[in-house]
Amino acid sequence: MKGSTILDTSRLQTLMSFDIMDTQPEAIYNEITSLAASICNTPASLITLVDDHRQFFKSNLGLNSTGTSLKDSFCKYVISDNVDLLIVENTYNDKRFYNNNFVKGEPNIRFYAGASLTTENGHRLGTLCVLDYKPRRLKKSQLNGLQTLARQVVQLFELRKAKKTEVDQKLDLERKGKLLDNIVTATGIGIWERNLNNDLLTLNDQAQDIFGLDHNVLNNFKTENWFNLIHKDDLPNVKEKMMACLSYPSVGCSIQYRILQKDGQYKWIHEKGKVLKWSSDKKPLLMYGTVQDITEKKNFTIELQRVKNNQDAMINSTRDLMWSIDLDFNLITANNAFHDLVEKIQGQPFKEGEPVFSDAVSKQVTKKWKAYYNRALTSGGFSVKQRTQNSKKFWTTYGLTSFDLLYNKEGERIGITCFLKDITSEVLSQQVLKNAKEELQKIMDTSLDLICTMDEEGYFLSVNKASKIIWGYDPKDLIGTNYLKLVHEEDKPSTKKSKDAVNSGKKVVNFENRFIHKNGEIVHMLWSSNWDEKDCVYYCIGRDNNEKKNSELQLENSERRFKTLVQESSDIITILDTNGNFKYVSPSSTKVIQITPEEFMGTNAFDYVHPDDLERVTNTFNLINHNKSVKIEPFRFENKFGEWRWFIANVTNQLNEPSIQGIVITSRDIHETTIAKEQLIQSERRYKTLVQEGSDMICIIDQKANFSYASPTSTKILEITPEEFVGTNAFDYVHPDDYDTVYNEFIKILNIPQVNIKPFRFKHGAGHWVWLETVITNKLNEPTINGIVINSKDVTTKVQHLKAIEAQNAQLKKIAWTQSHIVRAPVARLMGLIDLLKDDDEKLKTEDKKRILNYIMTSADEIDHVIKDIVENTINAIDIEEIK
Amino acid sequence: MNYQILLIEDDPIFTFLLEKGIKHAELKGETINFSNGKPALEYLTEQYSDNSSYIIFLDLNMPVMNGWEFMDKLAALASTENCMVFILTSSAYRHDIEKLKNIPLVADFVTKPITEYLLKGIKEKIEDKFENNQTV
Repeated sequence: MKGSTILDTSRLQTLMSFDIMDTQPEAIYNEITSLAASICNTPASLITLVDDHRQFFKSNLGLNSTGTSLKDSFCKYVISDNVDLLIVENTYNDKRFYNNNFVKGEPNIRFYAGASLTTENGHRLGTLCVLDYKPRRLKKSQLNGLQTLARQVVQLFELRKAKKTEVDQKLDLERKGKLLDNIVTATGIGIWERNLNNDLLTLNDQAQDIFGLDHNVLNNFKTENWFNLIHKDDLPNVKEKMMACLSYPSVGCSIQYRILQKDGQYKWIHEKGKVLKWSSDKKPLLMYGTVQDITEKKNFTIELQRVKNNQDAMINSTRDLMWSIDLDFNLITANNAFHDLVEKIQGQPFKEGEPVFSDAVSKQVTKKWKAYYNRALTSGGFSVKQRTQNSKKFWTTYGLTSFDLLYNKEGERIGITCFLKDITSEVLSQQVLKNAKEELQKIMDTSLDLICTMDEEGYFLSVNKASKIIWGYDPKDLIGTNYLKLVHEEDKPSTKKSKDAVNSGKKVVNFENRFIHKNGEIVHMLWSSNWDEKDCVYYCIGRDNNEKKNSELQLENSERRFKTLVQESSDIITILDTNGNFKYVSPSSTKVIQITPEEFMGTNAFDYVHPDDLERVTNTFNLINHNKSVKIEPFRFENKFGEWRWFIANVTNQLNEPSIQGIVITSRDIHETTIAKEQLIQSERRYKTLVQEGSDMICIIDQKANFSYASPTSTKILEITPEEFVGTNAFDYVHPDDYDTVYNEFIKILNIPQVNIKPFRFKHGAGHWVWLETVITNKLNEPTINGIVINSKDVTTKVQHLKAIEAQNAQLKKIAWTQSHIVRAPVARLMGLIDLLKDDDEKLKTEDKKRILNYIMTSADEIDHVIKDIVENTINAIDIEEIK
Repeated sequence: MNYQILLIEDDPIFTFLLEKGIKHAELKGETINFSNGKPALEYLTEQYSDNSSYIIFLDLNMPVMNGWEFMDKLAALASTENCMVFILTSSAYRHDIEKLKNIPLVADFVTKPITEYLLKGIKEKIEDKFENNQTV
């Protein structure tokens, strides 16, 4: 037999695998020891488990201890002597035990019989033993009984272990599954795993979508197949990074590339990978990673560049003059039109950094411009109309000049921007006008977006050709008509309101409404509009919102800044300097944390981070000096109301990007996800505790008391499996005599959160009744439970004890009554007789007196007997009760 | 009015004491002794008459038929108009008299031993009920 020594590691491992050392007492084991003690007629019985230095008592009937050291253990001899049964009929006669502390001293064990707890694989864990305080001998049948019970104990251990393993595995799987689902749903990231042994790729649903692969293709999707789908321009880079990642030791790789889709288009994806397992000879075995669709992001970058180029082109191709000067009136920059004009006047253009005043014009003119500039500096932006006459060439021009203050990113005033619109050009030069118009038209016509201008009343002044595609109308059909004619009836009020907002100077981006196509269909539109006070026109750019791909591009029109993309989502885009000071915050911050970009300006990002997260966040942020991008794990950020919200952030170093010169942070509010995750983990932990500990049975029933769930402990307690319970009604199991009481308690739960139900009889699977003590809790409004939770405990033994005590009490009462009657009777007689003698002495005849004396003697004798009897009978009566 | 005094008591000493007491207290009526409830009930079943007044002294613990059984049966037989029962108790043990308290026939509870003083009180009660009531 295995495990013949106490220190055998295999034996100890088996013992530990049951996870039973130092667990709480459990009713079932206590019942076994009671049974063992009762079979062997001993005062004490134990279930002992012996590890490498002590023995633990899982059940300790009649002995007030939960374990002893190995030195004092009797049971260890079952293991070390490798016997199934150890019997010590008199401890004084056994050299192993006569010197044992528990034999020499309290509680003076004189007899011991222990049956080995032997597992299926042959290891002895300890014993089921019985003890007595006097020497004795057990019958063969009693020893058989003890060994049978010992086998039951081991079976219970096995059962307990199997159940625990099953529950653990299930919970672990559920938990992992849920967490993964949460992460995947929250991030939209795909997950892949590549087994490099058999070159097999496994993808989750999200990753399949992103790669654009069918499930059946995946079964035989080798690395070669993958390479074939990669854009030829990206392939060398992908291969190089992959090789680097696969040579030991690698830190993982991150790569962006285009992958061919079924429709023949390329999709931009961002893949991150890492080798999870290496073979002993440092060959990669398993790779794991994530994949994200970044097509829109890429397209956006390209789109932004295109828009910027268009803007440059527009600025330089216009006949209007644009220039900006610093506070000392030196030229900062100007468009071609301005340079051309200056060159015409003085023979050469102003150089950047030099004053914008020319000797070629009269002092009066210079003075006038200086006055304009000073006015702008003192009282802000303004517009002025002027007529310019060139006397030499009889050349008259009319211009509208706008002056506005120019600020740098820190919001400091650094100069003046000037815009001079030549409003005579149309009159003077039909040709120039035509050119300009054609140029503009060209731009407008190539735009897929609808670009239009409207007058104050909402009549179209100009519309580009996109109207034909988006609305089905030619531009000429629209010009002169009111826009409202095309707006969906239901959206008219909100559209009017939005137009009024624009008119009062507010810039409106991403306004959504519905237009009616010429063919009657509804067209979802996304609008960016601006009111130009100088020209008294609305500039509107509308986008066919049905095309989601383009919908995320939002152009912010600003005279001072380059057009900026605003992402209206839960992501916040921030630009920080290296010290964490805000340089730019996207407007989405208002929605997400109720703090406007303006409020952020001039503050430091770290001031908003939770003190407990600050060190970690700062450390991660500082890594940006050496990395192109880092990710900040979830941290708490304070919102406007002082509440902490959970965020994750991606940090990208764009210090060397001239248009940005900062650190770009993309933050996402993951608060709800984080909180939900924490709650999930906590509730799982709670559930686990409930299921593992013990003798309680937990069920969920609906309002009509039908079971929807029963904990696995039901099998142990009632011999009814959870499967058998589900679908049955709880009251079908209640004893008819207890039915009304239980029902009255049960209906209370519909009004109060928790009810305790006193012990009642419940039908056991084997047909008899057990007493259950029950707490029911109303969780009908808890979405995850949606029922009434029942927590029951088998208190049959307790109730039976109580009943026995009640019966005994009644018996004792009866004894007391009888005895008081018996004692009182002769005493009363004596008192009566004495009274008679005292009061009626002279009335009594001699004969009567004799009789009375006789009676007194009899009564006195009787009292004597009674007292003797009482002493004896009382003791006997109580003894009898005990034995019964 | 014809009075009958029924002594239902198994203990001869108490019977003796009661007889003496009744005599000395000068309670009116013929005294008849019974050793338990059974002969007393048989006597009443045969002899019971509306023309007599019955005063019953009843012990509770007796062989054959005890006081409680007797009272159960008596309720069907006697009327409160002409019958009064005094329960004799040998102990101060209250539990056994609780169930007799609500029976209208029961006039009072008397703890043994019965002294002449107690019997005088009983006599007044009897006279109050049977004689004064009739004159009113």
